[in-house]
Amino acid sequence: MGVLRLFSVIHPNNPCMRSLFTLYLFITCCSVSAQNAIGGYVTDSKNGEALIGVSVFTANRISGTTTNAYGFFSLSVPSNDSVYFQYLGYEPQSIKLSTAKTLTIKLKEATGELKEALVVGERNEPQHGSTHINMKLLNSLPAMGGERDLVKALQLMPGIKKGADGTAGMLVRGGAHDQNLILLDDAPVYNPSHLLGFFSLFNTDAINDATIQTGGFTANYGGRLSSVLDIHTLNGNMEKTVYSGSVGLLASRATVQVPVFKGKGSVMVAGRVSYINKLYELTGKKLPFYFYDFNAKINYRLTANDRVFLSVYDGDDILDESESPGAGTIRIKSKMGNQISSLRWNHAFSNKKQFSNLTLFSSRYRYQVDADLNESNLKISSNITDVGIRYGIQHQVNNRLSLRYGAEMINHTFNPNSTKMKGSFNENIKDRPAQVRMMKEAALYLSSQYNLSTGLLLSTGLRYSAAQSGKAVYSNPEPRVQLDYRLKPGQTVSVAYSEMVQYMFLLSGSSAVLPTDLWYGISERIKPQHAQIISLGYQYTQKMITVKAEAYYKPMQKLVEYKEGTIDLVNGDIDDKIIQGKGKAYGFELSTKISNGKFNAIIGYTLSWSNRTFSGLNNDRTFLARYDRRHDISLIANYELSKRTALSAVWCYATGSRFTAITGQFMMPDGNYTDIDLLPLYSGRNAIQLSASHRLDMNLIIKNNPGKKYRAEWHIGAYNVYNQTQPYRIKMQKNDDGSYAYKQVGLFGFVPSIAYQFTF
Amino acid sequence: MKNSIIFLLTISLLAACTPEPLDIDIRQAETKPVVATQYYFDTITQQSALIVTLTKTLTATTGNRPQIDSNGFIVDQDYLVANAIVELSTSTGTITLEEVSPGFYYAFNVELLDHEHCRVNASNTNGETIVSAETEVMAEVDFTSLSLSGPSSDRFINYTLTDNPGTPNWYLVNYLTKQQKDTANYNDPKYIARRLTEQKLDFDLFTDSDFKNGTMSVSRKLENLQYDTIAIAVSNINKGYYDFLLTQKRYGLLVNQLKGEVINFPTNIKGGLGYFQLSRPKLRVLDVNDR
Repeated sequence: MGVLRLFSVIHPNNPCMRSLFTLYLFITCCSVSAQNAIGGYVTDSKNGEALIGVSVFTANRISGTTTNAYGFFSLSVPSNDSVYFQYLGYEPQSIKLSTAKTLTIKLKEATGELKEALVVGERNEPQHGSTHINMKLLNSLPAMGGERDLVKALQLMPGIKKGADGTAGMLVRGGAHDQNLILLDDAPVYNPSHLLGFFSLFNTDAINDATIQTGGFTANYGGRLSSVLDIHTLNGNMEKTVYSGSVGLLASRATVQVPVFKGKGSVMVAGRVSYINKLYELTGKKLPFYFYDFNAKINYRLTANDRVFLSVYDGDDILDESESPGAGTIRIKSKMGNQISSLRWNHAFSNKKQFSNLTLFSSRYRYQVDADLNESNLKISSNITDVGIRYGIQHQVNNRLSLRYGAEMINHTFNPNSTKMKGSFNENIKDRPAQVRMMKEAALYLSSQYNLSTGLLLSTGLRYSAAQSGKAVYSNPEPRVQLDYRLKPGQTVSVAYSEMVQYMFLLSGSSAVLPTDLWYGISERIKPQHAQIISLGYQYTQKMITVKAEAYYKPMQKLVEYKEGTIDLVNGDIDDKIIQGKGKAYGFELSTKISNGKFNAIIGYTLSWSNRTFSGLNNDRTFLARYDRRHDISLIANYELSKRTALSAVWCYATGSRFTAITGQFMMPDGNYTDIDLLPLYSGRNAIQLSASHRLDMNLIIKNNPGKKYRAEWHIGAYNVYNQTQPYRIKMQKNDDGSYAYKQVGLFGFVPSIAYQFTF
Repeated sequence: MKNSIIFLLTISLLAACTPEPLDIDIRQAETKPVVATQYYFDTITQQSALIVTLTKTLTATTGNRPQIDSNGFIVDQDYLVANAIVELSTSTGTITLEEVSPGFYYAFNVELLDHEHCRVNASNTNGETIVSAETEVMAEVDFTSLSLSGPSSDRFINYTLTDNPGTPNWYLVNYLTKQQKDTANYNDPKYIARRLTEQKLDFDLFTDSDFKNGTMSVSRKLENLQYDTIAIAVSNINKGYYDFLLTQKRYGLLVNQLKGEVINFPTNIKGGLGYFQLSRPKLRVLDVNDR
């Protein structure tokens, strides 16, 4: 019944839906008839891995396209013309066509990998606000404990900020942690962190490609306000069995890729485990916390035009702690983690112009706490489970017009904090059975890219989304438009407008984001969150230098916060604890990339503001968001010392984050008038700013002979070389006279690292 | 090889440093006067007393709790608003409260009428108002039934309250223990001040939603009894004071101080903080050993 109600709002009779279909018909009718269409896949010659974002163009460079997330491209080409393929880090290739057919282009990796050893590289794609992460080059960056991290690399990009020091959370263009849609092989990820956020979920050995959109959103993505991080795992080597791995200070990982089904498929299995708990034991300290994760993927080519992929992720963080404080032994076991799977079917249509992808996915994030005190036991568990389906078609109508359209539907099941107690663990804790709540989310989308004239590209899209939870049904059109204009060779200016709607949110306290925070959805009282983003970009590219500048303005509505004074954050009626307000973020981002053979560098700078206004918070006055950071600078440099050695460094600076401090106390008798309570007086909300944080990280890579079959690398580095405090919270420290002083505490100082990586 | 790697990893971990905390200068909240009031009424002796305490806000970096002397008065005068002229205006006139100890203002046998409008004003010796506040006297309520049950090692207090239909109500129920010989003597301000050191049990807050068909029955276990007498009082309070007490009670929970949201306490004081309220508690005294 709920599904029927949900689909009634995306029925063709709905005015917005009529607009969507009219737009589709208009664009299709306007399209010019096709030339000879070619289509195919571009792969890595060594391992058969799909190459994403490869530039494919004709000899005159007027017609061109890029490969999609599965390495597929489609292009209309005059007979006997040549087609060129170009990709960062690979040797360019061209082919001359005689007949139209499905092609498989195998690109060879360029020699001298370190020549372009920078993590964040721009692909030849028109969208501004979109950045592709080159995973092969991520390896060169310094990494805390030698464990390289995709999300921490993203934090170095303009517009993306970190939360607390060392953590793997992302705050994009003034948004909150939960406003980022993270997709792992098309399935959503709800907690992208391990060990309270100090590692991200993503095993970099298992990732093939990642792209992040922070503005100019394409209509196939939705459900979050601030960014889309789309990650694809390795398909697995199609040519030979490959083993790779790494032993680091905090964790180790191993990956194996095996061709199967007589070259028609492959299997990739990757695992990772941390042992910081064991190392701490060796030093006489206690840190009873570790994680493991596991990625696996099977891909099989059914026909030349059909391919299926099965991806699985499973990972957990485990805490196992025993204490004997005197009144018996308390043992706490906690387990939290994600279980993600997706089954995808790619189909290239025989006309070579259309490519479809069907995805069935499930994603589950859950945490469990199991505590024993003598004969008593307490179990607390929460989870969110998604089951969904997506179907999308990319249609290269001709070389000037491409379309993308599709639909998706997700069923969310929220099960916040069910509590079961045996014995008398604590009189204040009551049994609370599971209170399952369902939410359905659906969307239709249509987008187009149209070359209006040479150098002028118009991208339009309309996403129509709807969600239903209980009696509450909401639907919203989400228009997206972008215009890119090439002023002259090497100079592009872009303007974009996007609207986004978010139907679910993470219930986090204002002081910290924790893995025990709960995801929750809209209700009759809690409305969907909205955002609009307008951005203006300029890009200048010359031989060795690329300069990119973007300004944005992002108003947000119906943002969610806890009410002031909310004590018990999870129990009771959650709707009653929440208020909704508005926010505004705006800023300017500048990045400069210098590539000069052995030396490469990226300089990034962000100037930004982010504020919130809630009736009921801060005496109704507008306040700065917790992670409002006025200035954010990052410098990344890499220098190839020799064929076998390279040195890289990262320096970053950020204005301090904000918090609400207790700045006074007052005495009041308690309700019995038999005691005096000291009650707090708070500063304005987020009125206190921590000191700026800055640090230098370095990494030296020493390789064995690159020509050998067994390839190995030593990574010797250090995090926070000059041991600078990166404030992440305030503590009250007692002075000798009994008074207190405020101190800003940092988590990580100088942390040396060593890691050994191998492939054979 | 394995041992070498473990050795290297361990050495690396040992070489890691913890950075020194940084100082930060946080501007403290401006000092403000704080008002608290309590009206006492003893059903048996028909004595009543009104107490108004005037204190000052402290900085967050103040380390020690205010010291209280054997009479129950706050010792450190820096925390008190002394030498103020505190007046209570009711429908029958204005009375000036006596400062029996710095910051501790007292009046004996103050008659309050249901629903009358009252104003408290504190001014300095120059006649300038420091703080002022207004409130309405809440109607007196009583227990519908009250009894003790259970063996001496496991005593319960049982009571029933009847809600006044048609109007929203908020209730405060106080539980205290004391010795029987310690009878109320409200014309002695030190007696009232000493209550600050008396053994408390707890208090409960109720709203209309806690009542079913206009009545509510409560059975509450009496724990940590050290004296032979239970004093239980019920007051009809206004919503503002209910919200204040609820926030105060919740703030005391450790979980809130660790992870709870910012709390801004409600106030009805002009020029200061705290809460001015005049509820009239109905006090009942029970012998713990009565059957």
